[in-house]
Formats: sequence, structure tokens, C-alpha cells
Amino acid sequence: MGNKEISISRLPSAYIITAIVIATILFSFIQQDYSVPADGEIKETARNIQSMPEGSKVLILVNYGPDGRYELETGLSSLITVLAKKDIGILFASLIPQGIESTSLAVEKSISKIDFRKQGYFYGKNYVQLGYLAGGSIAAAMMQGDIESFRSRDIFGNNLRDLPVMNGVFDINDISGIIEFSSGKVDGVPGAVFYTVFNRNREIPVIAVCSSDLVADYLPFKDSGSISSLVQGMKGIVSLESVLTERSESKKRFFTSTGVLWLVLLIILIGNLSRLLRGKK
Amino acid sequence: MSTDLSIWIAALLTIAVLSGAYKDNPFYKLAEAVFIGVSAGYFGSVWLLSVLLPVFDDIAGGQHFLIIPVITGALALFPERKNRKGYHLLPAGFLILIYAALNIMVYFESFVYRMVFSSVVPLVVFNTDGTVAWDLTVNSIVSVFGIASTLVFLFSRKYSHSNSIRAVGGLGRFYVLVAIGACFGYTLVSRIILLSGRIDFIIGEFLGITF
Repeated sequence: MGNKEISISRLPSAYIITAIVIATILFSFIQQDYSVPADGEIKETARNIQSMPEGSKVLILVNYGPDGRYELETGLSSLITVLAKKDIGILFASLIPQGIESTSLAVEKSISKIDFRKQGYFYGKNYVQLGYLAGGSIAAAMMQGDIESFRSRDIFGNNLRDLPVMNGVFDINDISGIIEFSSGKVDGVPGAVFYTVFNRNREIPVIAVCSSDLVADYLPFKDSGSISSLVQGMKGIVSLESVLTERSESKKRFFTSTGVLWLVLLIILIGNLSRLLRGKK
Repeated sequence: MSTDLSIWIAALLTIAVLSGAYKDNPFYKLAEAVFIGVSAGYFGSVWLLSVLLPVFDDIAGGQHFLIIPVITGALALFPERKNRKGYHLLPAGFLILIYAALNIMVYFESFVYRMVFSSVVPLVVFNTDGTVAWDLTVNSIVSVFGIASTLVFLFSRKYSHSNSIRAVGGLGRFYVLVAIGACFGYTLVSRIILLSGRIDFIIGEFLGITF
């Protein structure tokens, strides 16, 4: 038998992927809460949310699909719970087609946690789904004006003027805040940025909650002031959730992902070290 | 173990997709084909129900001017042929003009003006009591030097033969590589979370194992 040099760099990728999958399963079984202390950014976001007046209306843009579900859904459902307790009406909209399904799942998740029906939380009275707003930046620009001329019905075909939640909401200035949950950009720009640029009423806070792969893209817009506050990926959502609610679902998932990422980091380090020691570039 | 058919289908498709990481196989191909087909169907139905049908409702409700964009959009279905002029480029050209007009403002304000505005930061940052905030000061210095050296890197290799400028460009290249690595790392985080979510689904909802 020949002598085969064994090193991590020569392992088939399937072995490494299998190791990652096994590690994910093992960490899922451990299921430990992993708290993340709230930094200044999260505290500012929580302040922006809690300062929204009771009985006002908020526009939530759901710009994520199944790929961002496990990161963003828990954050969205926690936010819905907090806004519902303050009797704040929610207008859901999406600049991507996948957002409709994501909105429905997040609302169902919120309602399943707390019995909203006992408190009288109903569709049309407390929240409405405007659905998919086709056109990207054009849709965002159109929303600055008369909402009804742009979208006269919700996704179920109901006339918006017949819904109690739309009372007093005629254009974007009648809304107390815009919150975007996003796992992708719209026309190459974060969806939340359109609302800041097109709307000159800078008193409306624009909060962006992005998935981890978009943090590097969204961060410059936060630093430049295009977005009021930014919740950065899973870590930010865990932190925000702990400030707003007592839930721990996202903490367990964050613990699992942290453990697996340490393993990936270890594999990368060992692979590079073995190459270095063998004198190869 | 779950008795819900939809959960069984989701779990089997998840396992079929994950099997593709080991080796290409017919189950992976099937799952891939199902994904493409279902995605196309979903997008088609969303476009029909969220865009087209409401427009026809609005036209019937009195907003007759909406016939113009509907007809213009339908022109995209008539490409040029030998014996017929194609008008399919008209709606595309109109959309491009509108997008360009709107997005020039967005891109300039968000990518140029605000980025430049936020890049010009004081090198030394003071606390409210007058002492130097060392963490923010180091952050500012690293940030300003990084921006400057990255800009130098973009032109130094081609347009400069000076060793000192190339050295600064080398530092800029390091910043670019670190940024690319950070983007890769963040993307990896997102994908690992997606993987853990699917494994949670298989363990919790499909197999019914609870803790």
C-alpha cells in the first residue's frame, strides 16, 4: 500500500460538511440559552420602538423570504407582540414577493404565543397586509404620497378605507415609524434607505433589522445616517428580543450557530496551519 | 414522529437537498427540480394576484388610465420578427428611464453624499468630560487610514511607480481583503443559522424529539 499523506486540506469536502451537520445536530441537542448583552445600538432601537405613541400606526416592511426566516422571524414576532400591547396598528408591506408568506408566518407565530383574540387583536382592526408592492424603488417612492391611490386594496381584496386600522392613515407622514426586516437588497439598495431619501420628514424613525449576511451592506447606511438604527443579524435580534420580551427561542438558535461557527473556524485554522507547516502557499 | 403530510414532504425534501452535499444523486436532483418549479409557480401566482388582478379591478372601478401601462407592458410579449417590427423594447426603455431618474437621487444621496459625510470624522474623539475616548479615537484613525489607503490602492498599481505609494496601496489591499473576509464570515453565519433551523425542524417537528 502506498503512503498517503493525510491532511485536512486533502479531505474531501463531504467529510467536512458531514462534520458540520453532525456538530449542528449535537449543539441543537444541548439547547442552552446564550444571552447577548444589549449595546448602545440595541438600546437606541428599543428606545425608538418604545417611544412610538400608543394607538399610532407603524409600517413594517417584510423583505425576507424562507432564507431569512430563522434569523428574522423570531424578531418580527416579538416586535408584533410589543406593538400589539401598545395598541399600535401595523401595516405590513413587502417589496419582494416572498415577503407575503413570511408576514403570515410571523403573525401566526405571534398569535400562537399569546392569545391575541382574547385581547381583541384582529385582522383589519389591528393590522393589515398591503401585500407585495411591485416596482422596488418606484413602489417606495409611490408610498410617500397618497397610499390609497397606490394601493386601494389589501391582499385579500378588501377596500383599505373599509378597514379600521387604516383610519387616519393617508400617506407616510401619518405613520409613526418604519421598520424593515430584510434578508436582501431592493434594486441594489436596502429597502429602508428609499424611505429615508424619498421622505423629507426625517422625524419618522427608520429601523432596519437585517440578516447576518447583509450586515456589511447595511452598516455604511447606519454610519452615514440613512437609517435611524440597525439591528445587526442574529446577534442583534437576540439582544433586542431580550430587551423587549422574555423569549428565548432565538438565544438557543444563536448558541447552536455560535458553536458550529467555532468548529468551522477551527477547521479553517488547522487547514491553513497544515499548509503553512508543509511549506505550501 | 409527525403524521402531517406537509411536514413529511418538507422533511424528505430537506434531507434530499442535504444529501447533495455528499454526492450528486437523483433525490437531490428531484428536490432541486421541485424547488425551481414551486418557486416559479409561487412567483407567477404572486404577480397575478398582487399585481395584475388588482390593476384590472382598478380599471373596472374607474381608473381607466391604467389601461395605458397594461398595454405598454403587454408590448413586451411582442418581440421583433422578420415581417413585424418589435415594440418590446418600449416598456423596457421607459422602465429604465424611470428607474434611472429615481435611483440617481437615491444612489447619490446614500452612496456618495452620506458616505463621504460619514467618512470625514475627527481623528481624536473626546468624552463629554474632556478626556480622550481612546477606543473611539483608535476607531477613527483606523477608519480614516483605511479609507484613504483603499482609495490609493485602487489606482496605485496601474498609475503609480512610486514605492511609497505602492506601500500605502498594499495597506489598502489588506483592508479590502479583511472586508471581503468579514463579508464571507457574515454570509457563513447566515447559512449556518439556516442549517440549524432546518435541523431543528427535522428533530423537533418531523421526529418529534423534544427537550
